[in-house]
Amino acid sequence: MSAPERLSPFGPGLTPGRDGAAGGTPVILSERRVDIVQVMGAEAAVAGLALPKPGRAEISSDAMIVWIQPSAWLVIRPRGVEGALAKSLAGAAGTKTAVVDQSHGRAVLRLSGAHARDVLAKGCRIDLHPRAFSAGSAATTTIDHITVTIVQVDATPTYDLVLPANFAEAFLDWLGMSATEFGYEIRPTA
Amino acid sequence: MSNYSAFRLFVEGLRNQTGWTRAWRDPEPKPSYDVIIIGGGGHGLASAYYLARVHGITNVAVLERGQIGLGNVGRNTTIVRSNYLFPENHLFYEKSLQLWEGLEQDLNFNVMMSQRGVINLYHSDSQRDAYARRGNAMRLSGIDAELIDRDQVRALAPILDFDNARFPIQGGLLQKRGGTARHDAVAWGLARGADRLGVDIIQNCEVTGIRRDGDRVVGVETTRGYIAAPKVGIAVAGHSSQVAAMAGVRLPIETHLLQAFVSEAVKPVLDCVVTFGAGHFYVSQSDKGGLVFGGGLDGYNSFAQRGTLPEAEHVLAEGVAMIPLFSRLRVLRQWAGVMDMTFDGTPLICKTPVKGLYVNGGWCYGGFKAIPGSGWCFAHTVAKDEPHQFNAAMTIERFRDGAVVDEKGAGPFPWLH
Amino acid sequence: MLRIDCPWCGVRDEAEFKYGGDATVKRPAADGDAESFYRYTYERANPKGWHLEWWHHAAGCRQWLKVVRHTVTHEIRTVAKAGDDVPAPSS
Repeated sequence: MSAPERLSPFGPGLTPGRDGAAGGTPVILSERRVDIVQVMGAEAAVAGLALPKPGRAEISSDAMIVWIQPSAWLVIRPRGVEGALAKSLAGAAGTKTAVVDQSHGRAVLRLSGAHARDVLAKGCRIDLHPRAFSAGSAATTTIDHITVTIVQVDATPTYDLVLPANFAEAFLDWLGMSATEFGYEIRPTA
Repeated sequence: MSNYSAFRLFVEGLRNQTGWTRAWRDPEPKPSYDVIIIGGGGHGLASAYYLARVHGITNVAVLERGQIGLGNVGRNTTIVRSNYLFPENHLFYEKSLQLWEGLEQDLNFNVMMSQRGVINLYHSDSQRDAYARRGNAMRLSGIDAELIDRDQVRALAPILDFDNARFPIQGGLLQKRGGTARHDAVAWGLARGADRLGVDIIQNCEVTGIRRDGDRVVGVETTRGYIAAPKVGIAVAGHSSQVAAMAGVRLPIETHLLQAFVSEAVKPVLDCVVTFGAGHFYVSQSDKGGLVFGGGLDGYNSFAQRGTLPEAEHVLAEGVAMIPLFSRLRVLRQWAGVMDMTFDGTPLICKTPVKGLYVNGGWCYGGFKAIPGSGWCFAHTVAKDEPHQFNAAMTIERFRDGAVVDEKGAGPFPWLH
Repeated sequence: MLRIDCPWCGVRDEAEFKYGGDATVKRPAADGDAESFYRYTYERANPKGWHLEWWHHAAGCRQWLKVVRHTVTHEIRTVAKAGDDVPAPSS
């Protein structure tokens, strides 16, 4: 018997379709179904992984490694077999590295489009201007009282927002309100 | 100076208000007094008043660095109540409330005491149980308390959001004898009352040092010269640490900011005091129509007397959650006072390690309701050189001995009380 | 609104932080007497002026920081990592 399909932590709010103001360029929202593993330790090392410096993320076509706090990173990859990523990282990790699977605890929302920065700016206390924050930048802050790690993926701009899964719906409420004036389009889960 | 009365008002009306004299004198400081009270706020004035009124000690000076009534007595949300859980607090705050009830007759001054009732809302079964416990504890101490249900709350305060999705109102703990008083009038009435009994209220006289002879206090240095006194009482909440340090005394106190707010005036919508059970928020409507409200501390040591926006946003969000019409009100004024925060949330009215030096402080944000009780107990402590039963627990030693009175159970973190 | 220049994250708003109190007090040795623990737990200089204090970047990098802040102007002079040696300021 196979495991049941996992439900989206964003709930029914993330049904594909268009909402908010019509016309113009909408911002694009989609959930990213990923595995998320935290790698932690003062001398953390994982064979084959380049752990980025504070405030940075290493982004490649199929993986993302995000600095979240001193000596701690998130490794994010498209969802595979349950637990497999954590297992493989643990196998490649040094003895002073803690590897913890966070796939069920976090949710990732991708936000993209010319107005993506404006949508975030309404609730985000950090400066997202390209001078201060660009592709490869990562920061943890609060939006609408919810802790969120913001990773800028490209210059479109595209952002991946790493959220606590139990606040995913609440965050989506805020995001929808913020994006209404620009219009937004929800795309199927990537 | 004659008494205020309706007849007097009538007569002055006939002679074009020319017969009024100043309510208290503006004396020069004498070289020495029997007692000096540092601080001309509510507590300092009340202390001097009861020293003269109850203990017959009239050779008293109240030294105020600015003008009376401009500190926390003029910066609060005017709530008066005695709905505490612990017996140490029952004794004290109930004495204070009883003094409030007779204060206007006693002072011959209208302090606009309004016993309109104080409701603490509960939003869950466990909170109801906690309030039942508190109410029962109060009744055992002879204090009025009623646990009321949702419909009874609705009858008293229909503008509340009873069906709030997160914090539906299930009921409340009501103290009918609680209410509000007019903050400025309290300072003026006590100043006039003390002055009439012979107390010198000396304004624009900042204390710059406390002179000791060995382990005994002998007087104070001020911007208007040295003044001798065998007994000195400190009642400068907000700056207790600074003034006590002049005598080499370190206190278990930190100074924090508390903001308060007044909305634009609207027609009567709320005729009792209500506190939110799901957060720290309290509100009443003044006689002028403004909603007077406040919340918690800004949360870090500060003497700034001005609040910052994150806490203001938090307080207003609580207000909207409890009373939706708040979202359509404009805030007319916002200000902050500096609070003496102790490490258990309970004040100090006590002797210090220096003989003849007494401290009345650590009022956290419960100072206004305590004014008459505090003055009454502090006067007793200074006059008799020992605390009254009502303030026996409010010592510095309680922290050393582990006998803290931590009503909130927040632990030794002043900014959490 | 305080703006705290976190050594890890850069300048961030007060709302991301939790206050942790006076950072000049030192925990006595385990065999210290009751008086020393009283002073450590309860007695504070409570300066009206520069204050060395703890802040926790709770909604950011989760690190404890030492901050030198003025309690009247709210100006922040120094922000350091928890392990850094920051001398107690004179008010």
